[in-house]
Amino acid sequence: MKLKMALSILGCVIILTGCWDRIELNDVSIVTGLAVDEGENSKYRLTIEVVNASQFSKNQMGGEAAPALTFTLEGNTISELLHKMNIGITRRLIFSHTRVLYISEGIAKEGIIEFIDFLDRSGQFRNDFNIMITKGEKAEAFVKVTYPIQKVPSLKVHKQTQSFNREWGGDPGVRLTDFISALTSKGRNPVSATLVIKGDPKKGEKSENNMKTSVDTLVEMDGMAIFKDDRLIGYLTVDETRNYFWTQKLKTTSMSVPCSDDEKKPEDEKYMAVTVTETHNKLKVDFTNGKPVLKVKINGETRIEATQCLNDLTKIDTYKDFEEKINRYVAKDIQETIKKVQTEFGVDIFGFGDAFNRQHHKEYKKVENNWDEVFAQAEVEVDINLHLRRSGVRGKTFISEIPRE
Amino acid sequence: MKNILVEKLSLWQLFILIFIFEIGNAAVVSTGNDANQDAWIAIGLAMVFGMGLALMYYFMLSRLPGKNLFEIFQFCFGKWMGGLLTLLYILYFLYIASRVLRDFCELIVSFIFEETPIEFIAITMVIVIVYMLYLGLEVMGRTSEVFMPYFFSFIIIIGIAVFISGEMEFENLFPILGDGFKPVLKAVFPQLLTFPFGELIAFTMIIPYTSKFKKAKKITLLAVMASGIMLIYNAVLQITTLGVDMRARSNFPLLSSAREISLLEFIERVDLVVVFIVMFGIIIKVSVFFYGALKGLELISNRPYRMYVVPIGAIIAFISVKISDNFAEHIEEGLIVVPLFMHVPFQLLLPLMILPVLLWKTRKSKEGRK
Repeated sequence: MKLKMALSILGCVIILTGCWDRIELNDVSIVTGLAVDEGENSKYRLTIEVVNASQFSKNQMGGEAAPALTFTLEGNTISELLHKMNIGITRRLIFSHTRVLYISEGIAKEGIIEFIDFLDRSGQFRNDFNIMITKGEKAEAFVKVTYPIQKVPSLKVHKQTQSFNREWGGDPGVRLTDFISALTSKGRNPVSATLVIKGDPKKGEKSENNMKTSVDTLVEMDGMAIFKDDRLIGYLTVDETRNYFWTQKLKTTSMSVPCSDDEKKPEDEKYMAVTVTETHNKLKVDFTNGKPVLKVKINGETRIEATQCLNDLTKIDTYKDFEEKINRYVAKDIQETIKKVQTEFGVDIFGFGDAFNRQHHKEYKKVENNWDEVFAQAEVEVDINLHLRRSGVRGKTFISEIPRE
Repeated sequence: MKNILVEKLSLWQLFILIFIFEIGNAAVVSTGNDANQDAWIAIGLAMVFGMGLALMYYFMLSRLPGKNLFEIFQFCFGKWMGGLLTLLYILYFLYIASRVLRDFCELIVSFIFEETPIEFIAITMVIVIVYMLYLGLEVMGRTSEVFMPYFFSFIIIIGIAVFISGEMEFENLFPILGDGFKPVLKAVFPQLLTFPFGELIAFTMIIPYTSKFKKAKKITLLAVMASGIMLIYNAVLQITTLGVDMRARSNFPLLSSAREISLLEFIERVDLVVVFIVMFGIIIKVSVFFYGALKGLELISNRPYRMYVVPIGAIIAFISVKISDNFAEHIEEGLIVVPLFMHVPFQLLLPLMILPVLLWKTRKSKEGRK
């Protein structure tokens, strides 16, 4: 009996303990950013950004050091390069906390399917990192620009896009799965956010950059990139990006709406600042007389944050008047952006094709293969229905009370 | 027959066993892809047919209460023919058991333990299953009773969590039946009908041992329905979170969906919950097939099935590793070859052929009794 017990305990010890694939924490480095550039002698030039974890502990050991470390290699596939990184780096790399993937313009213009497949296939990458196209400088430079508050460059960019997305809607919020499903769908083309560096990239690499109140070098959001299939074909500005995002998943934003309808110079005009607090958007494609009509319908709530207009905000009529102005302003903005995409790029980045498919499956099947051309020709109707609900903690503005000569 | 124990399952245990058995690996590998966004309709349709199949199996068993499928073979065709049929079914059950085990091993190897040899996972799983079956059917029933609440609530919670994370897009379900019923039917037959619903054939070895055989019919049907609804829930969850394309391309869509969960920015990375669901589902599924095969051996050799548990377990572990060289081979065989050449004959054709003989024989015996 005792022998049996002993044997079974021994068996349990052998079977249940340990873990084949275990990796100790002090054997790994956490990768937070990947930057892909064109290689000089081979296809890609990959830079990784690894967090220097000891810099985050309260009692720093080994004095001041850079918050993150980058390392660059060249090769023909990303996955091989990632496994080869230990040429210069001590620890094994783990990728599940990757925050940003930077892709340089040049690579994006040639097509990025080839390494997107790796990211999709490998179970190591989660679906929560940003895909960023870098304008101007090499992608490599972007993982090196530090920032005083969020010292690791990619963490900074990630946080920044998150806040921007929630606060104003200037980041399209594209993740890997969104990108891929837009790629595979015939009724939609992918987009992704873009970044630029303001200032001298070389200065940004040093931690002295963090000692100043006005940093020398800064990574900024710069609208978004438009793809046709997997090739970059053009850009939208930050404002247009917001308009694009308005047709997608925008939650809050704010804007300056002119007080009067007549055209004036911007400096003469008076504005009201409007914050949109809630929106519900819907894309529809109506099919009448054999021609698709693209429809954007947005409902939502707004509030006045500040006003330079003299209208009395305690009157119902003023609210109605302002509401109309806001709706007209937003509708014009969105209409212009869609028109621009139609005429300049001719690719459906909004997902009208998918909406068409859902509503009129049979008709869509007929135009599926040249949907982008149909999209570029189609009429656009924008129906905005934003309600102005309140105007802060004041009614009448004091501006109208100031005695004037 | 010496030392052969009479084991009894309660109806509730039967319900749970069928429920977990059906969901087991079907919830995890992508099913019904032919139907695109209508996969859930296909599953619903397959469920209705599955209930029909369950009725047929029950009807066969009810002609000779207390006898399992293999005993019916012997009753109908005599010792030798019946024995041969039994042997075929034993091989079928063992093969499917190893195939199901391989599903799980593939999942573990491709998602979690990337460097662990697949043999190691297969063997550890089989050790658990062998131990459970060595203790008998009743232990299996009780084990599943214990784990059922977790199993059930985890699946439900995953759905709710994904929903709250805002990752679901119900638009993905449209257009409903955009291409008509054809793709749906294509998905139902033979794939969805046979896997998971037709696999109920293994329960013809268990249903006769329930404590109240008369009520087993209702319970079986209810269980099939419940699991069908659960699978529909699952399919909707997967389609809305991943989209049709992504789901079709995912090897394990439920796992991929669970990865999207992000509650309050601190409940994240909960994919391991899915692994628990699969693991338990697989243990029950392999055990049920395994048990069927063991019962067959018991009948043929006239020795208690416990004698065979360990050697056959070893064989299952071995086959599950050797069954295919790579993942593509495993999946392609599993989705194309196996349903047509193994599931359809063993789940549909053979039972249908046996049914008239059984009817004729039982009628004669009843008359004789009079």
